[in-house]
Amino acid sequence: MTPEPEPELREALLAAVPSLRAFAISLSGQVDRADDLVQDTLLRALANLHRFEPGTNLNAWLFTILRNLFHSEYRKRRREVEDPDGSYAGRLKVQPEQGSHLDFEDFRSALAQLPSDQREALLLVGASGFSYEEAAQICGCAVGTIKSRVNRARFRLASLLNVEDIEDLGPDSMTRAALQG
Amino acid sequence: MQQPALLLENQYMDIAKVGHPSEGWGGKGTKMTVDKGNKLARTTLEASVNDKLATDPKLDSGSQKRIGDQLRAMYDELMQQPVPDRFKELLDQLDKKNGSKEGSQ
Repeated sequence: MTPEPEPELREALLAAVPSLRAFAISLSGQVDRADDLVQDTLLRALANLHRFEPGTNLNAWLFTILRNLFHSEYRKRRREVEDPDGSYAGRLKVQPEQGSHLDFEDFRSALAQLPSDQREALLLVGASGFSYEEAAQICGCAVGTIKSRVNRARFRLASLLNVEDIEDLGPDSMTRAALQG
Repeated sequence: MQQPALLLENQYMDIAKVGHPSEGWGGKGTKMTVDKGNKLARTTLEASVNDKLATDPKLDSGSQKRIGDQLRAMYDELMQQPVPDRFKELLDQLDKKNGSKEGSQ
């Protein structure tokens, strides 16, 4: 039995769309694909409403669904067409089509170079406003793993984004070498 | 406390655990369980032989803030994009259909 989506719930789902989209776009690097992911997430959530415990974190539940859809779809696609992470950076530069500032281009391309598990951990904790514990639940891993991934993601981003600054500073080339391992 | 909300995840757990599509972490990170969480430091040291950035580096707070600010600025921009009509329509449709039809999948 699927309970009726009550008006408040519909509003809550609708209210979650912007953050789901932002996560999906940042995760996949494609607006179209992100919107498909969000739509599938909403459909799946509605079909599984009876599994949702009212009073618990609806957003965390929705993010869990979206993330799992993203990963299962990724694996499927990967079997069909070899799609190495390198192409992600290329796609990111083209999107989003609306309201994009060039300022973020460097950041986006640096983000695209992160391993996807680090990227998603950073997005959940650093941008979507989830606690480490919530992010761990969403990703189905230990809190310590999330912390570690977020740390690495930040560190890697810092080194990717600061490479030129560090070069300008000259004496820090050893630090840079250390950063790049 | 929040376990019920996570029931749905269980059927997809394998997906989350088995294949991480990233080039970064190998098995070590993904196999880790909650119990082992606080052994993380040791694990990453062991992993450092193979991983490029295995030891958890500490970022100074200034850099961390800059990264965080840029991330949120980029994200906020995405959040402020108008919600495509397809989602409103989807939820409206389901609301109407709901009397006669269960769920959608």
